[in-house]
Amino acid sequence: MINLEHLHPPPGCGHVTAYENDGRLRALHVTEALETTKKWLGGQFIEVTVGQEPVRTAHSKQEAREAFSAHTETPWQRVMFAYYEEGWEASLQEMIKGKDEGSLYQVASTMASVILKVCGIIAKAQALLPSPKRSGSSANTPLVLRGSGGSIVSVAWHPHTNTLAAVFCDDTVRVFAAGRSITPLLKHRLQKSITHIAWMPYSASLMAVGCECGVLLWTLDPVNVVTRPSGSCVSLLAHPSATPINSLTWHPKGNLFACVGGSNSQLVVWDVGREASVVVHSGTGGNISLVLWSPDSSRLFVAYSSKIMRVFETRSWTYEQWSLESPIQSAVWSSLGHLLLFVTQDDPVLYYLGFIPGEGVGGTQVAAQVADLTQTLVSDEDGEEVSVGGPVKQLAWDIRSERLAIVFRDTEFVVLFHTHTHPTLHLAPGGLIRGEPCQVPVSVSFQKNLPNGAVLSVVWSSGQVQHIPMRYSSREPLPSTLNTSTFNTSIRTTHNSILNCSVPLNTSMGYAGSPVTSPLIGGIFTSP
Amino acid sequence: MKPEDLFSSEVLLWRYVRALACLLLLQVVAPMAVCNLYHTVVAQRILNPITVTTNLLTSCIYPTKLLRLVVPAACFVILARVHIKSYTVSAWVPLNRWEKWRRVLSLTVILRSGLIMIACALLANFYTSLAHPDFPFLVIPCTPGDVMCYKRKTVIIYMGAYVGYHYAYKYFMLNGNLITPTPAHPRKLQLIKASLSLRSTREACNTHGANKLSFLCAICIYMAAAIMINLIYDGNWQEWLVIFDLPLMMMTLLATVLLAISLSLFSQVFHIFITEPVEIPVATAEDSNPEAETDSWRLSNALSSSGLLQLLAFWDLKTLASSDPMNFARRTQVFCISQPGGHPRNWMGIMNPSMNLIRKFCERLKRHNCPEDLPKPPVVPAGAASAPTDVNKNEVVKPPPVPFKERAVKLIMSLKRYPFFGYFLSDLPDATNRSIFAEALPVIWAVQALGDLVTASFTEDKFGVVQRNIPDILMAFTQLQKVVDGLGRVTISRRPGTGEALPSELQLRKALRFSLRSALYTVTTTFGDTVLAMPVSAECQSKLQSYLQFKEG
Repeated sequence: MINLEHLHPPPGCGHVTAYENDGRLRALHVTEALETTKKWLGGQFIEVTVGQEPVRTAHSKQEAREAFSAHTETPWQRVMFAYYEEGWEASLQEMIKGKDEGSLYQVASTMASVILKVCGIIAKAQALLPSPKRSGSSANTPLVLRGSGGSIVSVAWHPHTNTLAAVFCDDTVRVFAAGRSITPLLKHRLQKSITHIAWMPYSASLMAVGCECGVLLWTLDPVNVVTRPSGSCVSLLAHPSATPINSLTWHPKGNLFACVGGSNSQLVVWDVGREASVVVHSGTGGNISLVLWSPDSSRLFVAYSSKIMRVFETRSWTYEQWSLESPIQSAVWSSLGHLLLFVTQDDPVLYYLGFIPGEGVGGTQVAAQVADLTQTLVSDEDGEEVSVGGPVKQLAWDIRSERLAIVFRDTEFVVLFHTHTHPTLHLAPGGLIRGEPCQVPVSVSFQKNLPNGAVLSVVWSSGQVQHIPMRYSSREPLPSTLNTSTFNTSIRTTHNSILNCSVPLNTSMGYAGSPVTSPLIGGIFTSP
Repeated sequence: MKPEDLFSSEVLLWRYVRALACLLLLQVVAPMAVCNLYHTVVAQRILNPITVTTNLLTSCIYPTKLLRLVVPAACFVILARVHIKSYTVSAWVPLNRWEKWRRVLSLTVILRSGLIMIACALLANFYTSLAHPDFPFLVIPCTPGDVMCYKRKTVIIYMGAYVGYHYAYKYFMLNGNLITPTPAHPRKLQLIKASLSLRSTREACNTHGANKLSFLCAICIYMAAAIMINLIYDGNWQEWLVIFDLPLMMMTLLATVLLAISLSLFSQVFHIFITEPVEIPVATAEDSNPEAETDSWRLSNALSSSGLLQLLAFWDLKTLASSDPMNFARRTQVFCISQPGGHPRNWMGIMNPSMNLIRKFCERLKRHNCPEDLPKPPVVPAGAASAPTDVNKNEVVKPPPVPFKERAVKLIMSLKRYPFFGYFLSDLPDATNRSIFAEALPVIWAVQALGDLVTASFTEDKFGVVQRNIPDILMAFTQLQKVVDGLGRVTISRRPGTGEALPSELQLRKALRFSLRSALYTVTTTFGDTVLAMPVSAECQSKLQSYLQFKEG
């Protein structure tokens, strides 16, 4: 099994990973790195900038009243004002706040606290029932995109064009396109606590933003020059069983999307054109944290916050379930939809599941371990010891499944593997990506419309977005150009090799990097 | 045998039977069994499982119990009959107010609404009798001295009929009878489970007149009617005030809520069973025999049919065309050629009905919105059309008599000038377009399916059966898109987050624009610059160019 010690030493402090050439990552000084990237990408380079206006974090909004000086009203007046402004509950809260105001007020204050306690108990009892009126703003929504101090928290590439959408920490989205000076700002009163953004496939203009109130569908005319699209460009798709949105995924053809949300385990599929929805699964398992539609559209991966994951086949929506030792943190499908890589929250190990086409889900019973990502100390090019690996935050696989980027929760390097899925899965070490000193990667995303090579966009904790071009000749064809008959046989071979372990896994084609590849080891996860 | 008849006898009939059986099980047998179980275990404290089971079985086949089951069963059969006869696959859009009134006053609607109301009144009585023994069952006559008995019955029957009227109005006038397949088709049990959720129940109560306001309104109408009747017949109207007792009110409320839930569940379960997807074979064994009957059960015939069969056939075609590897075998059949002869029969059998549907739809839209774009009918030479005339003759040839239909149209046009008639006869805004778009669902699926099949042909079509028709398909798409885009934006706009839903026909209009764009993008992205080399019109080519550059939003 491949591990992080097989990787090339990372660049020294003060150097930034700039590009990949000849299968090796190259590092340069900060200014040189940017210049080289610009030169490599030419007219396709997109500079993601914040602009002049300050970006305020949406999660630390201060109350306007805190800006004013102390008030001089009587307690009763304060109670009345609280009632007028925020309702009876706030007035009761205000009543409790006042102290030493006389016996009558004390009695009223005690009564108010009793009423509030009773209300709290009723609310707790109601929370146990599946009430349709429960508001979506539950406390346990850890998936809201948050940066580590920077203004940009995530980026999403358009599947067909050189367009990049960046989520800012003030719950706005800006759209950057190569060769266009206009960067539309998407802002709406309903767009709060963004958890996920995704461009619709086979469309130039549609983007889904998963947030607290549901999914907001933005229609951005590509030839429009408006910098601030109006509210008429948005439509809200909200299903009470899936708000606030935890995760959403587009059907590879783009006319449907699946979303999950709230604290229930219901899986909702939307027809975007008709704005019609259907709950395709509602069962036990806790709330769902992640959904991913396979690129061949036949399967849907669903990760639960409990220790299970399911893969549905999308014809009659039956599923196969795998039990885990820790909840899923991140997962990615291969370009042909026959392999799934995933990591759990606690284990620093990369797991793999294979699928065979045919009736039903067709997943292998046991997940195999393909890479050990345990935190280790490695020496950088300057000879200094640095820590890499540990619990994983995010996985990203490029469109042809040739480069796999892994972002860790605690360390400042992005790990890059060279991968090969056809006919069997192989991992080869790619290298370690380093940013400016003291910068931690927040999220990564691969550009999706490249005919050759790859571009990895890394969002650093400072809010800076760095593009790392990777130049190599592609071995894997794009999914759309692959003949299905060869596809079927190839997957069957893969499946057999995993079950029987008869095919020598080290016979991969030689990579430009290290010759170390990853033998597959049977994992601990079993399907019932 | 025609595919429609085959579909009705082989598929639909069994769906009706299964839906009815499921409803009876869900709404009558299961609740009664649970009540019996509760009575045996909790009230009688019998815990032996064998005794409990035998008790349950004997109680179910007990004659009085069976007799009780007859009434709800009959009600469900009546409701099912009305639903089977009245469902539609395209929304009804009235062109003017007169059409609305004509529908309200039509004998069929009145008769069917009456049947729904009777069934609801009976069901309300059944639920009341189940809930409380003090409220006697309908078949048991009231004792002569019991004044309350009669009044209770009338109140409950009235409320049942009121909910029934509410439902019937929504069903017939507000497109409650419209059935459209859901975006995805999980197992039926899952769909039924979702329709049994607390949220659906609450929605059902609000929709079908079991909410507080509606209840109060109904009671007020009832009281007013009762007092009026008493005043007319010189009775003591204060007698009617006795219905204001708490148990009766609670019972009525309970019966109304149960009825609303029943009706909602009925319509949802019916919808789930009817719209279940059907897999129609692309080619049958008869295909090899050219002398076999042509109207057999196959996809090309089903696509050319109408109504529900056509809708489900296009759904099946859309599923077949999708990129899912599970449909690979069926897609292979589409791209294969006949042996001997080498004709692409299966592809043509799919393409022709789909293209006809798209073209006809486009023509209908053009005829209404831009008639000048329609191709002109061939001009007949003047000499050939006019009768041979002799200039020396003094007799004038009489003009042909004006047909009755034209005269009626002229009369209506003249009546429109008067304000009273104008109110009823003038066209509602955008009504014609809306009525056309109400039938757009099969067109949308045809567009998606053709787009996907053309895309799939890029890698899967070994004999090149599709490539000859790609230019026609692309031209039809761009033409339809031009017409649909030319209509401008949807007139009714809504703010996101307000919870308002667009009427189904306007939603379909949006969906058609959406699927046309998506289909064209799918084709241009897959074929790349090759599409520009296809023999298409200049207008279509410029459109394809902008699609290739991702400039169509």
